[in-house]
Amino acid sequence: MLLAASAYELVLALHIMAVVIAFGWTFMLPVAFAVAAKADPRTLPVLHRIEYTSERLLLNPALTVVVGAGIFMAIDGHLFGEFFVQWGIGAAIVIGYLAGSVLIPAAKRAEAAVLRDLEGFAGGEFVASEDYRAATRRLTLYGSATSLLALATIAIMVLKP
Amino acid sequence: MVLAVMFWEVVLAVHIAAIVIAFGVTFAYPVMYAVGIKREPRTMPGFHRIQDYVGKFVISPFLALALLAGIYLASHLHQWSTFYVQWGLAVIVVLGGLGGAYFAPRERKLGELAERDLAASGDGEVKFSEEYTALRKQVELVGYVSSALVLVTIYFMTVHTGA
Repeated sequence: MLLAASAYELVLALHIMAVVIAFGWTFMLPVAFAVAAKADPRTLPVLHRIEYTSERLLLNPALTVVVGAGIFMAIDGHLFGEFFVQWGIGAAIVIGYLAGSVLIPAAKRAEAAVLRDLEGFAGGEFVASEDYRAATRRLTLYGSATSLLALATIAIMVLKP
Repeated sequence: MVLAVMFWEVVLAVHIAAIVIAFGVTFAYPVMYAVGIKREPRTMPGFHRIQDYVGKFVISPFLALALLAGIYLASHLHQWSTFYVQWGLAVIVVLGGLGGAYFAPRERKLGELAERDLAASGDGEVKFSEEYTALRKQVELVGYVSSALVLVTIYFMTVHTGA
């Protein structure tokens, strides 16, 4: 039976799909901001809006599915005592916290700062204010940490140390 | 022996991480379109330029990495004859082909059309042409189909369909 699968396998597939949707888009941000800053800085404010909108509409709901599916599998397989499950739950809490309390507010601050910087900008070299640079430094630091944590968690889930 | 087992598991982790990076971005494109067109249509040429770069520097390299890791895993685990491996291989080839032969030229074309329409709109309200709108909708539709294909493939890979 080609489509036959256990409930555990179905939920595992859902868990992995949700990981792809929750975290995959974050890896394009460095390229997107580098291209925007170089080619057309006027794209930067709306990119920050896309960043925090995606965190609300993709990361948060998909992270909820990741956690829900993970809890089902941990209960079904009696795996709560395993390190990889405890790490996964911890990582989901940390990522959810960082998204809500650091990344979304920092993206909003960056949007507001770059909008101010762009007032009167008519092309040529774009000089960002210290406010904008501080917000993007925070975004880069915590965004990179979130992405690295997601990759480390994928490795731990697969290797099951 | 322990190292051999560990190594294929490491390759499996690399395979999954590469899939997350290569295909996850496409799920954000609907958000990009919605926010961009609604909030700031003048940034659409920039979005299409970003899509082009993301295709070249994020999707393509990680698609290649996922393929290489998949080939290693299928060979090491003697899984070439199973349905899920053949499906996965076919999907990666199809998506790679779509990326290079369909999405890349159309995203560049969308950027050119958006630039032209913005120039025609002057300082007034932006009005995108029928040509731009039709092509954008077509690219969006193929994008949705590709994303659905990715999700179906994740299902087949996870349950090892046909193994």
